[in-house]
Amino acid sequence: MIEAQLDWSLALAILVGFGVLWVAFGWYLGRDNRSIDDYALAGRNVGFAFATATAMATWITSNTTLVAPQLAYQFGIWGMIGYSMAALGLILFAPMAQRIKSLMPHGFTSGDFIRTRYGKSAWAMFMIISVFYAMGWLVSLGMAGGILLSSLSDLSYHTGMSAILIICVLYTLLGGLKAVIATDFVQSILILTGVVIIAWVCIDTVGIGEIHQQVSDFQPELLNVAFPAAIMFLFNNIFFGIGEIFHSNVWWSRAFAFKTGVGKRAFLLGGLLWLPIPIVTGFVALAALSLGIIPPSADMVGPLVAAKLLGSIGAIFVFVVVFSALASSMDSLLAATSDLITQDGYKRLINPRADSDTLLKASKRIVIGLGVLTWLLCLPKVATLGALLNFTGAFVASAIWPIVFGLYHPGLTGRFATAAMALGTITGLVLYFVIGFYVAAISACLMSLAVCLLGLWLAPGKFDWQTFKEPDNVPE
Amino acid sequence: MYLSETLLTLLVLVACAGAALAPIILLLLYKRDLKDKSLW
Repeated sequence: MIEAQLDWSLALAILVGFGVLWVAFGWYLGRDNRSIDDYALAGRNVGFAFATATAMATWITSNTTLVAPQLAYQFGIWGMIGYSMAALGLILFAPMAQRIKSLMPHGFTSGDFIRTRYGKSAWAMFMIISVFYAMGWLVSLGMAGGILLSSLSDLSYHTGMSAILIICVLYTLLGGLKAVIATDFVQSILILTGVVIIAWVCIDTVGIGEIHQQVSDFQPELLNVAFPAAIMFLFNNIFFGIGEIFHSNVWWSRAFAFKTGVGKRAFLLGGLLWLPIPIVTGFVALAALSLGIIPPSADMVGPLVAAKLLGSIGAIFVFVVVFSALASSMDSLLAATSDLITQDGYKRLINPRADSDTLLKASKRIVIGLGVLTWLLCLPKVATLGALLNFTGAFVASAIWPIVFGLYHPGLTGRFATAAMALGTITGLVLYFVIGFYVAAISACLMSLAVCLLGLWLAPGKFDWQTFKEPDNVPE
Repeated sequence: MYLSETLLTLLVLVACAGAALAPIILLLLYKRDLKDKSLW
């Protein structure tokens, strides 16, 4: 047992306490949900405070609190700054959120947009990318829940993984997006407070001067601002983060759900508030040398430093922060993926005449189905699945330019948008295996851009933006 | 080129100040939206 671990009874008490609190909160918020608009998009009227908090909290995953310290420990300064650059995805999505809301005030999903803008073949390619990424992220979060909660406490992998899935499925099922957004607000306050307290104690106890001295003496490469591998990581991470946010229905559903005029400001402020968090959590890891900590695995460096600085209270802090970080992303992903499958799968392909009540029931069943499927995929605890998200970098980055041109340029046609996503993905995957994970997103993005520019040069179209407002494309 | 102690201190303190301000900003926005009845 390492000293960052909590006793199983205390860990279970925290899990049960949070579980009951979130589920009751979800039920309370969901009691007025009457239509699919209420359930899937929180009534399309989310205010600035909740909108900013949910944009930020959803982007704080278990990776932000544990992989950022690991990267600082391995890559030094560029590791934590590189990770913080993922905030660019949120910041650049801000004007797009406003454009999405004005083009499609009654839209439901990113799939709606792609199908109306580019047609069926691009929509099919986009759905493959979206569903593959969403399931990859869900499984990686479920597995991270099991691995992290079992590392931070005496709980078993299966108990931790099952607990976080059951809690998130229950409150998402009962409250829909409204419950997801309200819990995101509370979780963001918890995460930020925990992270700041740990960093403040670290500065107060060890001191930045002492940390700099120790790193300079024993691992000076971590302070090297021309560390090639770390700079490559930084650029890949920027494109990966942008690809994740630009294409995923997690963010599009928020653009539709936020009150008119709120989306741009909320994503911009959410991104700016998110930016310092990986630097703060990363800095804490640099104190490991001064504290004489040698972690059994690099991703445990953050919890170990916190436990060393704050004793058992530190372990509780880390447990609560990690649990909140996991839940704030998993609930959003469950809600947005169920929304995507309900609208683009069930309604589009199976039951085009479905009314709001039917869609509401289908959406709730899909949330349960996604929870069960994720649980089954997480059962084997295949550690390499944790790398699945890096693999999806090629897929998501290939969608960046078709979405940007689709929103702002009437010239790109469906044929070239489909080719851009397909060729971008293939290029990214080939280079993922030939060179490494750190070039998958960049290469996919560049190939996709080349195909889009070729399409605009060879066969420009003339898309009419009013198509989004035609009765066929406006849900009842 | 290696990051000096001064620059590391500046980077960490600015990041910590930003992270500490975030919950305060969120709570102030919540208070304003609650007062205007524009939370949802």
